[in-house]
Amino acid sequence: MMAMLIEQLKVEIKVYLRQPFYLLFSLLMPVFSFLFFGMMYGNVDYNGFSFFANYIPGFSVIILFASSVYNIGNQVVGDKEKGIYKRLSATPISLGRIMGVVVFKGFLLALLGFVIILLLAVFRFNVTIPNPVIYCVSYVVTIVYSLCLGFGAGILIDKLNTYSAAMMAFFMPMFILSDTTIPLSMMPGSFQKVAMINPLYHMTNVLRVAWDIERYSSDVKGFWFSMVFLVGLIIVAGIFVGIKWKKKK
Amino acid sequence: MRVNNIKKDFKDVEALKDISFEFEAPSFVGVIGHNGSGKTTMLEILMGIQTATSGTVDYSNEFELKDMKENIGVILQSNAFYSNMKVIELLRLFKSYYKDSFDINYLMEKLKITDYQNKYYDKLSGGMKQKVNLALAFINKPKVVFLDEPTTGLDPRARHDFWTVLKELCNDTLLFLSSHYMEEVQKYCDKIVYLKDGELLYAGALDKFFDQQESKDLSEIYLRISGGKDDGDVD
Repeated sequence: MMAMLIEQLKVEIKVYLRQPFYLLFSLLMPVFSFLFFGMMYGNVDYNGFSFFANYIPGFSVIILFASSVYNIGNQVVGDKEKGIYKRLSATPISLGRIMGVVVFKGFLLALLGFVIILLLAVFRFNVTIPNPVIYCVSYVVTIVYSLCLGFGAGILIDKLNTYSAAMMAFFMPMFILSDTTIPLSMMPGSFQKVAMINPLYHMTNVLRVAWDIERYSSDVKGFWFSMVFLVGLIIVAGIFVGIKWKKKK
Repeated sequence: MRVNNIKKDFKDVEALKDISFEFEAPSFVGVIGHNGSGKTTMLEILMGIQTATSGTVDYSNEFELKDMKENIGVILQSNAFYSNMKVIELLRLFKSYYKDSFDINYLMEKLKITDYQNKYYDKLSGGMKQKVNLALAFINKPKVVFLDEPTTGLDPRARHDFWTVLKELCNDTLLFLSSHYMEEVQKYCDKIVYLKDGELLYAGALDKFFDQQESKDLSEIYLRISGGKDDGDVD
């Protein structure tokens, strides 16, 4: 069983590395963006906190979303549409195990992006991480959360065209309204209200508090609103995915 | 194996109506019928990919039901694998799924695909892809094999090569193979399952079918019975 899982993981990673578009979009672009913005705005404060205290969690969320929600969901929908899972269902390997390996690959990629951002922050910009353990643990939890969302989206949507269209339609607004690049405070009030239903915005909020615990006291209500929103979202998504999974069976 | 009163309904379409038959290894069973007759649906139920609305499939003479996926091999009508995957990687991956399997080098030599092992699967020609699909279908030394239109789209030479290799790989195997090429079913199969509009017209020895139909030309019998009709695919 372990040999099978390792072989499956090897294949997943090889196939991923052979698709440069995924690598570019989910890993390289956010890393270069972080470098660029870091060099431009590294000395600027935002809401009383340093640029890096705001934007390291933010860029980590962008990498997470690109590598897990977009990438994993895209793969699950694409493989489902091609009929790969149908062929594999004639083998002894359970679909659950295959999905587990796909999700684990997403986990490793998100972790890699996270480590690269932190290394750049520490060695390029001489950033000190205030609460490294809390931040790393929180990020790992956020990876798992995002992978669940991405996997769930892949189960709910049947066609790759539909998935791509949905991601195009939602990803750009989610990215812009996440407070990870352009400060939300600079946007019109209506945009800021829309950000309240943006999971990227709430994930960024939570990770910013994990980065610097002192931030908690400056916006207790905002932090708990983000937590409740994120928990609620995963519960609702889980219910829909559960219904769809049972229907397919 | 024994198939008992298999029925399959899709919303308001009765895809299979009370299908029952019994075959034992070694046999080559040709599954024939017009487009939409239920061939793929029936094969996918036997493979365990689809579930029947009612009825049972009994493999107890071949293996225990819990070991079914370890003991069957399949080629689907449409076989897709991960993009950017090499042939050798695909074979290693599938080998890892089974408790007992052939040596990969042995299979590659048998199927004459050793020179293609480092090529990407989706860049291969149709004939080569089917050889790789055959390797994947037989990698676990299956007792029962299901091949859904494996020779469709292959040129005559590729079809000939396919059958040559298939006969070499089958060793006390119960093989089900659907095909629209009546001449190859007649040449290579000793049993047939004939479906029309989801109903079983005949299941049994090909010789007996010829006696019943008073003809030894399967193409002529097929055209007479099925009328050359194309009803579209509900599979």
